[in-house]
Order: sequence, then C-alpha cells, then structure tokens
Amino acid sequence: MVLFVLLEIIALSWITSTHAHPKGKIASIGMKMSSNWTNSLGRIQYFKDLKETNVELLMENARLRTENLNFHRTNFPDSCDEAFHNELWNSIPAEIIRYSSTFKNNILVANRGRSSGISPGMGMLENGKIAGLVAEVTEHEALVLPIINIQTQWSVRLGNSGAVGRMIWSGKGTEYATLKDIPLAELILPGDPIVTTGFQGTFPSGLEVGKVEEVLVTHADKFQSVTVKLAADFNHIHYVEFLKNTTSSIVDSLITLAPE
Amino acid sequence: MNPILRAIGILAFTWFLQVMVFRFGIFSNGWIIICFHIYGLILLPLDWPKTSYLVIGAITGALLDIVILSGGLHMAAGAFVGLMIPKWTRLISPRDGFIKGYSISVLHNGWSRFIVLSFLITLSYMFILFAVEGFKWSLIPVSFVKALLSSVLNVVLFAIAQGLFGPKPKAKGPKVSAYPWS
Repeated sequence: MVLFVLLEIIALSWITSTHAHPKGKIASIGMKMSSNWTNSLGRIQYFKDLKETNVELLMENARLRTENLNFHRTNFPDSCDEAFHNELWNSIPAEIIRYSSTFKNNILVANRGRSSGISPGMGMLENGKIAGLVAEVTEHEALVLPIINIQTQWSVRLGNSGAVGRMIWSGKGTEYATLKDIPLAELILPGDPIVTTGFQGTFPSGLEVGKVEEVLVTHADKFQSVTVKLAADFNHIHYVEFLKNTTSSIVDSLITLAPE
Repeated sequence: MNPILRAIGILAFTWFLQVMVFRFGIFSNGWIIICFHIYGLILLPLDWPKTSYLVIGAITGALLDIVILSGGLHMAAGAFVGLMIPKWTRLISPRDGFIKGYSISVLHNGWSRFIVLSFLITLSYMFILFAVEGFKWSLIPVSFVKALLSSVLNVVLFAIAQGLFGPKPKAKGPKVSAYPWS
C-alpha cells in the first residue's frame, strides 16, 4: 500500500507538472492545506496567549473597578459626606499562588509583595467581593488571611444603613460565616445584603460581603446571630485585587491626635 | 518457455503495439480509446507477489507516458491496476484456485472468467485514466461512462486476440499413427 501511494504520488506529480488544470487544482489543494495548517498553528498560539490576555483583562478590570469605586466615593450629593468620603482607593491586581481551605487557619499567598506596593493591613477582593486581609509581605509575595480563617474578624453592616456587627468564620465550609452582635430589635430577613462598614480602613464602606442566609435567635442574650453566605468564591479563587487607601496616612495621623 | 519471460514478452509486445498502432485508436471525441497494453497486464501469471503487479503496472504506464507524452496518466492508472489485479483475481478465482505459474486463458479458465477478469482490470485502468485526466469531482460520472465504453471495446479486442493467439487445445491422439496407410 505504501508503494502504491508512493507510485501514485510520483504519477500525480508528473501529471501536475505537465497538465495545466490539475496543476492549478493541486496548487489550490496545497494552498488550502497550508491555510488550514496556519490556522491550526494560529489557534494553538491563541490558546497560548489566552492566559496572558486573561491576566491583562483582569488587571484592566481591577483598574476599572477602582475607578468606579472612586467615582462613587466622590459623588455623594451631600457636602459633608463628600468631605468625609473623599478618600481614594487604588487596586493592585495579583494572582493567588498558594491556597488552603481545609484548615481552621487558612491562608492565601499572592504573587505580589512589597515591590508592587502591597503592605500589611491592605484588603483583598475576589471579583469585587471582600476576601481577605494582608498579614505579611515579602519583596514579591503577600501572605493573606482570608475570611475563612477563624482568627480573623470583620466589621460589617446589615444593608447600607443597618446594624453593625462582627463577622467571624466558624470553620464549617468555605461558603458561610457568622455575623454576631446584632441587636434583637434589628429586623433581618434572609437575602438581606451584608456590606463592609469601612471602619477598619481596610475596605471602603458598602462593599459586598455576602447575603443573609439564616437568622439564629437565642433569647438567652440580647443579640442575634446571622449565618452569612459569603459572596467571595473561595473554591475558585485565582485572580484578586489588593486595595490601597491613599488617604489612610492622613486618617492615621488624626487617630494619633485623639486624647488617651 | 519460461512463464515469466513469456509474460514479460507478451507485455512488451502489447506495449509496442499500443505505441505503434493503437495509440491512434481514439473514437467518439475521446469517449472510447484503445489501451491494448492492458492485455499484457491481464496475461501476467496469476500467482506472482502483489508488489510485482504494482511495479510492473506503474513501469508499463510510465514508459507509455514517456513515449506518447501523456505525462503520468498511464502511470497512475497502471499503478492502480497493479494494486487491483490481485484483488480481482481472488474475486473470480475458481474453488480450487488457478493453475500455478499460468496466466488466465480461455482454454484453462473459460470465456466467462477471462472476460470478467479482463473487464474488471480494463475498467479499473480506464476509470483512473479518465478520472485523473478530468481531475474534477464533477467529471467522475463522465469518467466512469467513458471507462465503461472503452472497456467494452478493449475487452472485445482482447477476446479476439485470445481467440486468435491464445493457447490452443492439443490435438487429440498420438502424433505418429500406428496405421500410416490410413
């Protein structure tokens, strides 16, 4: 069969070199094959570049998110609010390179560190939702304590004007956390949004944290607990943004002036 | 005579006839043509290795292409026929097979087998010849009709040749008479 194919190839080559029409036909087949090959190569190259493009898009997304955030911060109608909320935020995109979700003290390691402007105390967002807090930094890496770490506590608010409480992780599942210290008088319904207060200076106020899943009332004390379904997806966390408050040094200097 | 030499001799002779005479046998605006050298391919011994048919078919076609300037058409057809000869032979072989070392003949295999094998081989050759010449998918049906018509004419010619020059039955009885006066 190989010999037959070989002989036919010789014969067809001979024909194409002596007959005008087949020559054109073979040439067009050759061009088609060449074009298909180029397309295949292009597709491989495209997939190769896809990761790079994805990172670039995420970075652009982070930049746009920050712009959007700052736009909202500086567009409060009330002049007092404007004065109060004129803090500006920058975001630094990064990739998570180490991750644990099966322990009580889970950690994340991102591929950006001091050299990229990240410092301890900065907040971390996953797809625009709060996800963690920078604990330590090296030159090129940052250690992040995520919400799903039992040692962390988060200041959050029920809706935009509801009660403020303390959110902790109970260590059960990566999707839920518990909101404590909510007065019994507060009316809470499943599905109510939980947002950041901005009191910690880590995140601006009003960023999405999650939604109320369940309300747990114990009449022994005067507070109620809320099970919060976290907005950040820790099972698929990959690209994140670190938030930097450019006015935090001014705020900190004010805090130092406060009487003991 | 050695069957191999005999077969090659017949092939060379038919090829020569094709070049000298039958190359002009083109009828009905090229719808029917004569390729008498196929007769030489048909008469190759039936028990040769498969590769030998392939090589012989391709070389015969290539030599014809060189001489009549058909630029590879006959080589392509010859190689294809070389591939098909063992298959067609197996298809029409009698239950106890063909006689070893012999080529097909009316005397040994009968008219029907000879005509069927000749027709299949010729049709294969002609079809590839016309299909490659047309070199278009749309011309395949036309090529098949041309091949069919040409095959009929060629098989008629092969049958005449076989009847005239094919093996003859030996005369019955002793050559020397016991009764020379009778």
